[in-house]
Amino acid sequence: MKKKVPLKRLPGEEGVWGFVFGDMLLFAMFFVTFLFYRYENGALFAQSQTLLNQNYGAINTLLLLTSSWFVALGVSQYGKGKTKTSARLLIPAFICGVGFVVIKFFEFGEKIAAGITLNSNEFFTLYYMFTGIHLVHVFVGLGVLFFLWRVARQVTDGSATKTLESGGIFWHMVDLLWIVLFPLIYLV
Amino acid sequence: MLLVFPLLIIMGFFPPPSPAEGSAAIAAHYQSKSSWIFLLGGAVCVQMSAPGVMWSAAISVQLRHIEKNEPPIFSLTNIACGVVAFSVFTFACAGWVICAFRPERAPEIIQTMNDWSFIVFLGTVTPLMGQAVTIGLAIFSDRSDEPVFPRWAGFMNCWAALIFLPAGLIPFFKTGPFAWHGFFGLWLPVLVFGGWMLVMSILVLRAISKQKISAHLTTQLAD
Repeated sequence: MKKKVPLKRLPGEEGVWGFVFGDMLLFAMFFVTFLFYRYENGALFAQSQTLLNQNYGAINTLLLLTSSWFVALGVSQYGKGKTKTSARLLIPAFICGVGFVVIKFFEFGEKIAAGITLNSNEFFTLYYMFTGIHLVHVFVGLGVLFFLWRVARQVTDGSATKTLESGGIFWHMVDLLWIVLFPLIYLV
Repeated sequence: MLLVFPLLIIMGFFPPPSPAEGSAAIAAHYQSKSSWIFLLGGAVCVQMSAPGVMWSAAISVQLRHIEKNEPPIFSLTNIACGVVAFSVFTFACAGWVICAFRPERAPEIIQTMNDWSFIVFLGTVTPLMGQAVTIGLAIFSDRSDEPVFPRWAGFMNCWAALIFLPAGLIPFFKTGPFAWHGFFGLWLPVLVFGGWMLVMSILVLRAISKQKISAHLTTQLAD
């Protein structure tokens, strides 16, 4: 089956891509900072990394990926006019996002209980700050998902495709940033 | 702002003294230069809140155009945050002036005042973030055919708010990139703040000239 697709169509609105670029720029600076400090102090970083709980990180990666998948399905359903299905698909996406936050709290709690805090060493400063600022993004993203859910329920004539796409792009970026953060801080 | 940045540089605050330095070193920073530079620089910066508030007011007037007959939540929040942000700036500068006012006093006291200034200057970042987020939300809510501000400016404001965020976390660090002399604690927020003020000023001026033209056209049509 051949579908007629316009040659060039940017999903979402242009501004959101500008924002994504700016935000990724900030995180790129975070990654460079991390690599710089690791280069300066490799032994400390390797040793500190063993104190992290990779399981939490891995579960969170899965949660965000699943969530992103539901959002992608929801946005595509909305584009096909199935706005109710779309809104329903955004609910598990939201729940996965909340799951990420809950696990993050357990993870931070475990670290703090073990006496590892913000200023324990350079590694943990960067660990708390980068994952913390990413967590702020997750909170904002949850707000965005809630907003999308309301839009999908209320705007049933399919005229809010751009809005859904823009919000979806933001959520995918939150996911993508974690996919870089997780191996960089937990694994490599 | 054009005046404030050079003054802060002359005062030797870029790069600022590290928060990890001892009290004697901090006191020496104020004693080393002729103290009148600090006094003059600080005394001018202390007076800068009025222009800052006027700048915020100019933006609020434009936000009022966006709101039209809606409740003025955006314009009010913006001007209130502006007033708080620039008052806080005044308090920070006053701290530097106080340090320079009697540089011969006990180093511990100078260090305390210096800490106060930097933590107030960078650490109280929510009013500025409030301004940026409010402006951003207002721009997103603008559904008219001829929006007051371009939509990308809404995203830029949200991004600026995000960049300001780490400055609010400086109290937790004495060393590293998130401390008050670090890249994410000082340099990036301050640079983005300067750029943000510049871009918003240009956008406000453009919006005003557009409104003048349309007002002119309506009066001509009425004649």
